[in-house]
Amino acid sequence: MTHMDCAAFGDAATELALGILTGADRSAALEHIDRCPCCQAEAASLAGAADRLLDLIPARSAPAGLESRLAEAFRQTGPGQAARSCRTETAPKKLAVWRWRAGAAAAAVATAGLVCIGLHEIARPPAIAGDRGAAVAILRTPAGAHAGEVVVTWARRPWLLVIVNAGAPTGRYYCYLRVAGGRQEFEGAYRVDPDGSAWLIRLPVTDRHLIGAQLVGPGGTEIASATFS
Amino acid sequence: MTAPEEPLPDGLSDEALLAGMAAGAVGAGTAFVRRHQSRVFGLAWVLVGDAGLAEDLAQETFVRAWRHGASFDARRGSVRSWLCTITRNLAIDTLRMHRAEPVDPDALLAQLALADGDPADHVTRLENAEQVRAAVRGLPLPQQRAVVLAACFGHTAAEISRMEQIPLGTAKTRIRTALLRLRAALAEEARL
Repeated sequence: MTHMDCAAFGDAATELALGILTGADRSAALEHIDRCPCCQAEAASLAGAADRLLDLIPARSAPAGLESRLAEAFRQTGPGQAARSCRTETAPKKLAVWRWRAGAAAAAVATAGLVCIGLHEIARPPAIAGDRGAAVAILRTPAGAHAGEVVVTWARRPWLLVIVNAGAPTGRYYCYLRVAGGRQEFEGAYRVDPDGSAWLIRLPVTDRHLIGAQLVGPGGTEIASATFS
Repeated sequence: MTAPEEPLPDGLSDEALLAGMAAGAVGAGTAFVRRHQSRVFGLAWVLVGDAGLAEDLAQETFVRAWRHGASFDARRGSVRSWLCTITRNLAIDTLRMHRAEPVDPDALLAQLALADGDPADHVTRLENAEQVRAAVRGLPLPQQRAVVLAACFGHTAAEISRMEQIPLGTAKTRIRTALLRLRAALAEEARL
């Protein structure tokens, strides 16, 4: 793959954000943002603007029954079914287990005033080698106010659940992960509404030491951060 | 294993609903459909120009989102643009099967109602759309066309170059300049 530097990425960034970059250019751009937090933040910012353009698409009332037909289709078709057919027999089961652990962690921290992701463990999953359970850290504003929680579950790959309380400043939040060695990695951009928000992140690296998370507003001001003890 | 279909709290982000779908929560899936179906159906209708085909496209879009929700990566764009990309790709396949001629870009742009809002739209959506329309109207016409053809209809710079009969470099410049200016305009709007 051709490596892309920041200057070349700058030329390709708008097309990436609009979803029209293709082939080797797209691969190179994605590879670049995976290792360059600045360009990743720029890509997220441009993607936010590109996303707003979708408001121009005229909404039309969907045909009656579409929602119920889809609900029935969802009940009959497991998520990831198409992809699973290409995989081994055992992988999907393990995948389901750590998804459920993330859901269980979400349920555990859902208290009054918080938004819960709505997933619940309905059966205790079998133990997974290397499972280190879950850890919770409080999200605090720079002034020390309680703004929410972050929960990490350590399964074969870790999940991170970020919960922002109702009443937090609304708008787009940029989420950064603080990892061992003092590095800070851009994770993604999320919208927070007056009722708060919650999002679940599948952490991209399996065994790194996650120290905490930081939420930053569009102007680069820290909104809240959390540190795992 | 299926998740219990309990009512979900309001205000969950798209990303949270998608995570729920990836875990098999049908409630998350139906909430996701409810939130996006009018936009997906609207885009499908614009792209294929037929209500029946648009309904099939919308249904297949959500089935694919359900199946592949776990592969969504927020670093590479919003859930909404991911969903629109699925719809566009399905529309391209459908059009290949049903008709060979390319869609006239003027016909596509006319359907976006850059001048008027959709009265059936939700008030908030109308306000959002009006802000975007105003920002788009502030661009030179060639830039408007380029960025809208790219953002809403998924046309690549090469395709826009052919449609508009301009050099590829010009198409890229129009797209880039337009999006950068729109970002600045929308940020300014948000500050006011």
